[in-house]
Amino acid sequence: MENNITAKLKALSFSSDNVKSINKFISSLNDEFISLEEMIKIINFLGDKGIQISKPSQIKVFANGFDYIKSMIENAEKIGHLDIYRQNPVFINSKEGIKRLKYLLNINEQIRNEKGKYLSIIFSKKAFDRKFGTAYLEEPKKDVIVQNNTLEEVKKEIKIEQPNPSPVSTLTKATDNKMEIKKETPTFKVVDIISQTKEKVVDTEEELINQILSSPQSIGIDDQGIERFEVLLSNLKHVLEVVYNTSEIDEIKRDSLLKLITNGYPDNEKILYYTIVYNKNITEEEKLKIKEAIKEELSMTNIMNFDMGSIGRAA
Amino acid sequence: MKFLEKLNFSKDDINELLDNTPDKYIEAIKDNKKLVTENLTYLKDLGVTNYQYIFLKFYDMFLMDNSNFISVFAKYEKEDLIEKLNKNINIVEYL
Repeated sequence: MENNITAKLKALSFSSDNVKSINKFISSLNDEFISLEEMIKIINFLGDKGIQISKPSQIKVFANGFDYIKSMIENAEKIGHLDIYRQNPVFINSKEGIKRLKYLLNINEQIRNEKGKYLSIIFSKKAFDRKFGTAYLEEPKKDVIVQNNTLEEVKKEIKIEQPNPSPVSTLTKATDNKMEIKKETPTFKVVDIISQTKEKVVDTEEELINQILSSPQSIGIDDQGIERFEVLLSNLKHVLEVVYNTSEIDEIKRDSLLKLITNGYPDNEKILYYTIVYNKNITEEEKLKIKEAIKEELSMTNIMNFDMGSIGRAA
Repeated sequence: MKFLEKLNFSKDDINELLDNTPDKYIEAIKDNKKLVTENLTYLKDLGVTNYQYIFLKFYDMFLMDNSNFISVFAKYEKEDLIEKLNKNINIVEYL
């Protein structure tokens, strides 16, 4: 059993900081919940779908077994919302969760916040039932199936017409590692960005990211986006130092980072990864090195942000 | 899951748990009622007011042996830990 847990930990390839905190959840790796073979099968399957089990508290997902997980993924894919599991892998556990999402789509309710993330009410049965009742548990008359992910469907989903009321800054092209920020009245809308990036159906997440990165620059960014850019820029420098012994960031990387942030892409790990590998021929070994360095960097950032030192130690 | 009602879990809380939890964990929780109760009671007695939410999100943790469970929290200064947990249960991930 001990050997199996070691092998299971290896299969998860968590960063060293995550491995330290996994002790609390180690029982989830017992054979009574998941075998090594099935766990690897699930990891590979989810990985192909762009879904990562990246935190120790998420490993309970494996206990559902491959068949259940596959059916949940297929249900989400049918309605064009596999992203919800990328945002929150533990949501796979929810037997009724996708029904709640389908229900909101059917009644044309907002499903994402202004940052493009799925609303937390979808993830909470208690909160959802209180607000919308339990009609979603009955079979809907008509399923919303996204055929071509057209602009109209996406506009209906996101329903964001007004930009952030705070002043919007437009980033001009960076020169000499300095950003010149001009303040302008808000002009961009999320739908404009979507029309630039989703002109054709994309089959994979990688295709979507490549589409974003190959689209023209000049997309507005707000103050929060700038803050996120600065943090990720610092993360990027550290990762490049580890992998390539240099913290120099070229124009392409800077632009790629900006584009992914302004398009509201939520996954920091993937933003950093695709910023580094975009348009480059990179060996599999190098890709692995990059991924490991990113995981390590982001887990350090998480721990520093959480500031465990702020919780006083017992005498 | 009636034993959870004795620990001030509402029916809605229990329904939430049943929706979000793989069947194998539901069985494990039922089979280890005494252990789960011990661990929940520890947090409740410590003064953590939102222990129900911690359980709903991190139920797998409550299957830990009680002494190991206590040791996760005991290394921190009590008042500080309670204040931080009551503000944001997600810090449990990093303890």
